[in-house]
Amino acid sequence: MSRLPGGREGKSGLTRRESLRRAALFAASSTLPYGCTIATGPDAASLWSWPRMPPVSAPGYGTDPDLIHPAVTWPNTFDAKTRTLVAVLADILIPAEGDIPGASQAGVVDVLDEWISAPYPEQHADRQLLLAGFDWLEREAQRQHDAAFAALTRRDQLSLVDAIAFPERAYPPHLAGAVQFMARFRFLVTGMFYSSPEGIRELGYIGNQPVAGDYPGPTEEALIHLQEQLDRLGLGT
Amino acid sequence: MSHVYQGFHYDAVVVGSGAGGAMAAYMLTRSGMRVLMLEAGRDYDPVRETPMFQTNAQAPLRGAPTPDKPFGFYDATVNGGWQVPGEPYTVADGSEFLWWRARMLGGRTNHWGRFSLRFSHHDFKGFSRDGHGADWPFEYADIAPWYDETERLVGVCGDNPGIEDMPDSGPGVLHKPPKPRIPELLMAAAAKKLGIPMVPMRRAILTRPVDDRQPCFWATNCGKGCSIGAAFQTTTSLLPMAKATGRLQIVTDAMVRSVHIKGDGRATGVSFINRRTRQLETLPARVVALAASACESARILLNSRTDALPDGIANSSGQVGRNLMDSTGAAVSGYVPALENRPRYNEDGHTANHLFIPWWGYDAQARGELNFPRGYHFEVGGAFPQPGLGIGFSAAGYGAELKARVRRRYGASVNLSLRGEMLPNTNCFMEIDPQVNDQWGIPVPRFHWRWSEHELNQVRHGMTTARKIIETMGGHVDEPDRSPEQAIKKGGEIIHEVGTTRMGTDRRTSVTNEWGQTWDVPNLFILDGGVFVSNPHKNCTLTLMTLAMRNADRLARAMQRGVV
Repeated sequence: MSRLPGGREGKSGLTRRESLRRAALFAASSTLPYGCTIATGPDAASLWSWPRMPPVSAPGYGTDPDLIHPAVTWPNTFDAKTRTLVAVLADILIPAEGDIPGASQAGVVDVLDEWISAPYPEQHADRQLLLAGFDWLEREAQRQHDAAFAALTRRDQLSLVDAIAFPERAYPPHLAGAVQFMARFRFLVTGMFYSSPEGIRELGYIGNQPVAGDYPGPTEEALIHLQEQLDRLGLGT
Repeated sequence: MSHVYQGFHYDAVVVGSGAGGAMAAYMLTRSGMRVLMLEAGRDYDPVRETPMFQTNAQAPLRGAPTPDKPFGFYDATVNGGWQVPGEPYTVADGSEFLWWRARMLGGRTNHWGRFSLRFSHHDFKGFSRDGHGADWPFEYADIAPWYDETERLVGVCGDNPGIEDMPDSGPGVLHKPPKPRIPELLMAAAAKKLGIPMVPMRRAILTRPVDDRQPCFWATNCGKGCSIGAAFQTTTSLLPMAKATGRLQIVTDAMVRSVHIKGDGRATGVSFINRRTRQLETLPARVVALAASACESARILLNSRTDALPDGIANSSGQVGRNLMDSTGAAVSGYVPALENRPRYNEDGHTANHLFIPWWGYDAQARGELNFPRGYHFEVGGAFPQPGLGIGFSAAGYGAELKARVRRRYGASVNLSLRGEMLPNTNCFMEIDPQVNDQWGIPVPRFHWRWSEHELNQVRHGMTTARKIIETMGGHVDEPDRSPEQAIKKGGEIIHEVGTTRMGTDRRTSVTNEWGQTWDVPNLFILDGGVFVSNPHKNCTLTLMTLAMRNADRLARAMQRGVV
């Protein structure tokens, strides 16, 4: 079952190899052998499955791109429904706080689309994992609540997220794929948000601006904080 | 006697426009010689092309590395990386080796780390000290004045801490180093408790103006290149200076294939592929200086073979391609709670480490307490970085808690990167692959590689030391324990490959004399890292440039007298 427009078997050897590798990985780590059928009903979790991937055949930006006027050379993937799901999920991870907008308003959905649509191996692996994860989440929302994830109440959305968002917890093995999906999605969304102008403002990064004269070094406040730590660690002089 | 190419009269052909070639051109042209320089890559102008203040958010994929740009989108490497399109190399069964190349004017100097540490008297006489490898054909004292000259010309910031591993630079030579930042100060305090020194790094970064070049303005990663000339690269310094004499002509997209010699053993010229026309062109030359990089120059010599010289030219010793060395590399990173939630300020600095840990173990080695003969240093990291995708590693959970955690952990990670000396060994060398040609029809190198116990023991020591330092900072190491075999970077991965045309005092065991002049072909010189006899832990470029300056100076005088 594929949520992708025109879903077809991936043509690149790498895609297939990676797909098989992942399949083997999860088969080995799961009590439910990959590809076997299980009884589905209101109480059974949806089976993780890898979507059949449309090929990404667009060219990359090449080995000599224009660095001053960068251009993305490949088309995006998300349809409207996926965009909605990704925006809701990204904002659950990175909600708006005070005057800092949430992930979707900071443009993370676009960057994520660009990422999973890129014709490079790392991004292609993420494409499989993330699209499979979105698919799993939608099926789980349908199975448990008979509605799209984006249409659920916040409480129901969070209960689905809680089920996969803490890799350190002992989740049932059949959730391994979904847990891996959530960890990777979180890594990407967090990195994409905090490297946006809005995220940089929240983080308080100061720099990327010319400073005349000598490098000023730490502020008085920063040095006082350091001294407290040195004293605490027994490293003070 | 001079030759003409496209209307330009020249006395010497220099192959390569990176650290060695540009220095050679600078020295030769200022002595009145006319130089035709052949560069395999395209023309490149840092003033126009450097993405100085562009942010990760403005780059595709947030600037992340891809196979097209393996050090990230903004890295100043054109048509290069671990693979060059259409120009493969091969690696022998059971070996792992990586070969970084750039196909651009200025070569790898456009993106290099700018770490500029002098070799010491220990480094030039390793064999005398511990019986491994070979001694260099001169003393530190012979080359010290040339280091001063090179540092003056290049512009190096740092100081003279007066420790054994770091010979002093001459008075007034070094530029003032930048103040250390908070994570470096904390690490220095921890290192001190362990008896380990931490001192200002020396980098080829101007902190005062030099000629047309501006001092560092404490922003924008040097790996992007530097449009203001503060971070040294030949395209903003030596090449324009040499061109200003009117005696340098640069031909780009000229991929040298071979050097020709005639019956008396002298070089008569070079052949190159014009990458734009894909035609082979042949140039006559009175003097040929190869500075194409250690492995590329050795490749040219080996590919210059004739029926009479089936092993290539300048290779009566059989040493061309042998003694291939890189630096050892390994990294340890950790999380330091004492750096959590610390006050924000601008930590960009010169964008690399302001302090580093030089090798401190000479006494312990002399006492026989260490099971590896050669030293290493640590380049250290830890600052409020310009945020990129990597910040995602600090995330866990979701919502307000995730955000608070990311803010708390920002700037609280540190890392130590080991860079160590490897010894030459007979398992590490390059030769010409008998089957594979590149897109220009030029046979490609095949690499052989195996670390010895010396490097593995050194890395083990470094990993243990780095862990101790992080723990003394009150932190913990992120990764599980790794064996040295797991932790050590691949051969070539540190991009310090040298030794393939080593110099020496004996023509039976070396390719050139101490002046970079090949024993077999008196008008053929090697002015790149190929001539290194050993590969001390101190990053090769400063010494490479110093040797090129010294040896091109001698070459210029010999040419003036008509000796060469």
